[in-house]
Amino acid sequence: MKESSVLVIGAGITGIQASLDLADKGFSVYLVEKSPSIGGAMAKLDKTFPTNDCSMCTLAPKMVETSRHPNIKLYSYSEVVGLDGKVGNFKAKILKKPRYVIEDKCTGCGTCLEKCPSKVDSEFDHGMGKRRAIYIPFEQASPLIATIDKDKCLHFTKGICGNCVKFCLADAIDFEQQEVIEEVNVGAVIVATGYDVLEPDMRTEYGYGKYKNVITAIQYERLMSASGPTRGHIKRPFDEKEPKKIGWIQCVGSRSNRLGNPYCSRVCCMYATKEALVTREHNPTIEPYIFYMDLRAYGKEFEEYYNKAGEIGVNYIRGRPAEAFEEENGDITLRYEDTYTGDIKQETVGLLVLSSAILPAASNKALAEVLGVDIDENGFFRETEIVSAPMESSRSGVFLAGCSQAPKDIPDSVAQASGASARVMDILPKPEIKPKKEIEEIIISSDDEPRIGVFVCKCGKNIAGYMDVDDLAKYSLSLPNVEHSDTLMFACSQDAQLKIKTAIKEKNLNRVVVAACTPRTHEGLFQDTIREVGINKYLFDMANIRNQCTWVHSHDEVAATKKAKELVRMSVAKSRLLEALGQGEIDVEGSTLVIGGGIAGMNSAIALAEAGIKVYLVEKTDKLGGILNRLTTLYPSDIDAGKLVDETVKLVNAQKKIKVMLNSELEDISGYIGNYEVSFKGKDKKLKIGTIIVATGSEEIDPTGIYEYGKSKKIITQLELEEMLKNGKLPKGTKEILMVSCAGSREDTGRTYCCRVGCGTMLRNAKAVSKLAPDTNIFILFRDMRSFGKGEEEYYVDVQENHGVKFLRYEKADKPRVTVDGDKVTLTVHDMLLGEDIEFEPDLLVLTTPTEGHKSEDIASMLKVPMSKVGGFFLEAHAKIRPLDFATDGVYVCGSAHSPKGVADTVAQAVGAASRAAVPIFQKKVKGDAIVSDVDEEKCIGCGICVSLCPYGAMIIDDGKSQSNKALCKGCGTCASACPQFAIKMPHYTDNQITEQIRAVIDKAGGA
Amino acid sequence: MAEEEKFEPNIIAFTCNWCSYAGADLAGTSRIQYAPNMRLIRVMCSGRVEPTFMIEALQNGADGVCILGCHFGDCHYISGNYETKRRMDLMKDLFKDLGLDENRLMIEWVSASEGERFAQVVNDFTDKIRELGPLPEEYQQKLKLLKGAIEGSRLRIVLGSTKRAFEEGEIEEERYVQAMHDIAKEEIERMKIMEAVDKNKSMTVPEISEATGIDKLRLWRHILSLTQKLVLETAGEKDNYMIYQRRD
Repeated sequence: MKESSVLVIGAGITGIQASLDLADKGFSVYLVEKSPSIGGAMAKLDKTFPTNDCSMCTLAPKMVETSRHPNIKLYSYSEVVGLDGKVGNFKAKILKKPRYVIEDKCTGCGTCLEKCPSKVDSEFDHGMGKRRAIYIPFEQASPLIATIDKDKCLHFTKGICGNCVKFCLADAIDFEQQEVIEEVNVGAVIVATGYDVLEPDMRTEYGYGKYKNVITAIQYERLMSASGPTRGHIKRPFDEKEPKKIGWIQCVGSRSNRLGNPYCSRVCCMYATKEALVTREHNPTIEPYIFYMDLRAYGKEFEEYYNKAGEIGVNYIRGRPAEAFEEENGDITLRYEDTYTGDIKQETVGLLVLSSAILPAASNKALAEVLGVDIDENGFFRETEIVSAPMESSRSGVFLAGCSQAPKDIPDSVAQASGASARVMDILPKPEIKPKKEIEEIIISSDDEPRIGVFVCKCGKNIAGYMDVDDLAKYSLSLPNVEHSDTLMFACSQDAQLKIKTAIKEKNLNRVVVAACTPRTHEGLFQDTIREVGINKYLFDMANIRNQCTWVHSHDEVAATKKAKELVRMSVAKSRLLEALGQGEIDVEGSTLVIGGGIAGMNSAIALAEAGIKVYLVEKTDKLGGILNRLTTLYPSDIDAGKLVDETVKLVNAQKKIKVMLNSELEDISGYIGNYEVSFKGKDKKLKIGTIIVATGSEEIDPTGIYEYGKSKKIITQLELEEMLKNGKLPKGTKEILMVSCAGSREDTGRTYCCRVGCGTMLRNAKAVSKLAPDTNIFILFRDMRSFGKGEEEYYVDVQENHGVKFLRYEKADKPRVTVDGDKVTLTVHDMLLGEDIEFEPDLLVLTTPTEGHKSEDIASMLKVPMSKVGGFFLEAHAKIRPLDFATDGVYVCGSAHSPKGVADTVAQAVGAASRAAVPIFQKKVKGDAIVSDVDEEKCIGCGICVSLCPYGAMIIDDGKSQSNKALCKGCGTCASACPQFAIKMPHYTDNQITEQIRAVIDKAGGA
Repeated sequence: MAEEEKFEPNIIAFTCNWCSYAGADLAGTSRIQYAPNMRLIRVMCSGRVEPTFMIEALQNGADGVCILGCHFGDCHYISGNYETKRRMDLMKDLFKDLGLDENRLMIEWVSASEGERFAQVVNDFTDKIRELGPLPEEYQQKLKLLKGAIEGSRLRIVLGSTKRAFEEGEIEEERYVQAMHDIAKEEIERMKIMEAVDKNKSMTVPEISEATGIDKLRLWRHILSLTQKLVLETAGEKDNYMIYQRRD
């Protein structure tokens, strides 16, 4: 019997996503994280490109979800030290390192941190800030538990101090703690160990470690972060002054065999752009300079982001500084060669930031040995095939995701995490969804007199240290309907839950108010607590007297106490009117519709079918395989495209669960998650569908007019060249081939985006030509060589060095000019180095044109999902952490329908989308939200204002009256406050409840 | 009271759950100190803020009211903040019309990562209201009129239809806003009329004009509409003018 459980190693965003995808399907997840908190590298970032979203704001909810998930067992500060057995039946050994803090007792109040006298460099801040010997790595850490750094603790090093023991009110310190090894049975393993950052001290020419004002990009990130050591103020280490000029040097430790690593680190061009752009936006007097070799803005909306950075004054200089030296005032002077002119130039900056390489995690080598899997020549985990099997390791049942396999940005890591979890769901037995053991709910109607209990949290000293909590508890008891009040040392601790439950039972309470921290992190915990004694979870409210009171008025005890009383009074006023709410359940059809039969759609379909899910694979043409049918080989591993298509089609056809529908076009899609109804043009039968994957891919643009395309048969596209290569024949007399990049892409208007695959296509086809006809002169005219993926930079170097291909750069402002004169095609391009025009008369001029999304507006409107601004691509729910979801539940996207991408990334996304689409189907039922609009038909006049305002299409007019679709409503309440008749009620935020809160702010009786 | 106490304003702020409330939490975790005068009321989206909530707040002791939401483009619910902005714009216009200081109302955008900005916004608004002083007692009567107007379905229909009107592109934004503004003014006048009529039980047009300051011609149009809507009815004659009273 195989185990329906899985080991996930590493709890950065990749490990978190993989764990949630599996846990949500009912698998038991053992999530092992070597550091004290989950969150990984993403937790350190200030903003994320290309949306400038706050990194922590998007990550933190996922961290909370992970730590609270009933199917995830978290082993933080732990390492995997053994893996025996085989796929389906592994035995993993997990070593729990001693924190010297008892996890069950520590509440994370932080008192010990304040009292610890031993200050050391913070790893989380990469040495830019300090922490104590007993520490919580960052404010939002999860689990929120202190850890003692034995090497720095005075008790362990000198046998003195013991402040933490003295001041810990929870009695959580245990100097005697020992390491523990636990053994768990798992069916599969996902490796999500992330990456390390190069601390580039070996690159002495830039003076890192020697000159104070030379730092790494991740250190700069900590300086930028509002919660970082300088609270977001850019202060250079030399004199804590704000620099006037800041320089970034790209590819430090990357793209160089001689000086580091041969591969491209994939994210540096964009993070440097982000850092420079955000800095400049924040302070327009700072001048940012980015020194780069090729600006690799390859992803969705990256190019536009890069352009925006240029527009607001980020200076991009193509050239790699040769040396840096320190001025007396701490400034750094750089010497570099301007690659346009060949001149040696000089620039002095106040702060130098090194965009240092992404390295394989230092622990990879040892872990690879423990797991019995291969690592590659660079130290990343080795996949079985770069293009077609990026998630598979060399050992069956062990899968790879995120930067453990190769450097990646967040969305690509998240997609691959979902992909790896789909591979796990495919090979392990479907877990039984355990019915939750819930005690019966006590019926509380609005007629029952409210009996409210108020619990005031002291939060150690975080609250009690700044206000009079006893006074607050006493005051609370004087408020109408409050039958009980108490103070708690830590309202969130286990013993406090017991106290709350006991009070509910003894005093017969039917509503609870907790005055503590913020509902955004803790509401769910208390809701679960009251539910355990039968109280509906919506009969709960929180007064935020810590984050929004004592912490921000810590110098004014009187004001803080007064405010806290008002906050509790408001909470009690609202609570009196709270109503028990029911969450409806929606049954989910056990089938998925996959739209598009290309490599993306096929991979989604197979992954779903292998998990036992019925799939309808819809293709509008008469053939599966999509654009791959027209390719010869695939970049960068040169595997045969046709063979991959054939093998994949074979797998599709072998699956009984997949119904392939060729020559089929959608007519209509109606319904919502779990219950879609789909009809096809010319067919009567309608399908009942649970979830939908959009994999419509992209198509080549019409190149007519671009570089005189259409005027000579010598001017062709890459796909047309590919056709010739497939046939093994170039036109007779072909001696010279010229390829031009970005033909019709990266424009100022229209197709502003980078086509992402063009550079690879040029390299691959150039290599193929050189093999087919070695005597051909091949030139590649390019703007930036964007060979960013695993194995791609190495491929580029190989084509440069071993295939006789010549490379020539051109600028957007100075594009090549093409003329056609009879049979003669002439291309003129300005060579900056020579300072003169060069003319070519190629036998073939190959245009590297972009693809664009299929004309999919009809699908978008059927599904009520948005499209991106450019290129006809679909717009996902969140650019960073939800790349495969739409904002609409139950609908997912993958492959080139999302944005142009190569096959390796497409496969990861496609399999990942299958994982996402399988979640509701595994769950069989999805919980409807309770906070959803409710229309009073008596009052409704059918004006339709709510319909026009609802962004989710949840409101419809039926028979002259509005109706709210509870499955689609997200509970924003915009409709309720716009309804001319006050006919729409938003439960939990009703007009009455909010009005009572307003009226309670000021106590007319003068009590507080 | 022997000495005049320093005025400390009461301020009520409506915050959305996802951005501004989170920003306030972050100000807390970052221990940024700010003025203790503001009370937050959390709603899921700033689009939930019913225009009457703002008036309710000022009627119940607040000296200033603000709405804090997500920056445009960041709204968790895509477009709720645009809706609340429209409502606030109208409210501010009507405040001006009524001679109320629109600076007592504020709308600002604070993201989940802007703890420092949140504190700044609180401090700035608190300073501003402190400068303006306590809400004058004479505000209350006008607020009552305004509340009546904004609760009425006529104005609500026009306000709620703004997005639809723009999207269908049949009317320019400026003209629509102007028309809405005119309707709002009319509604406020009607509230005034009803208030006068209720106070005196029954009145003639010249009497109402005298009491409300609305010129007679304009008043006639209001009376016509109010009788058609069955809010007013005639109750005899006086000095060659009809007498009007509230219809039950």
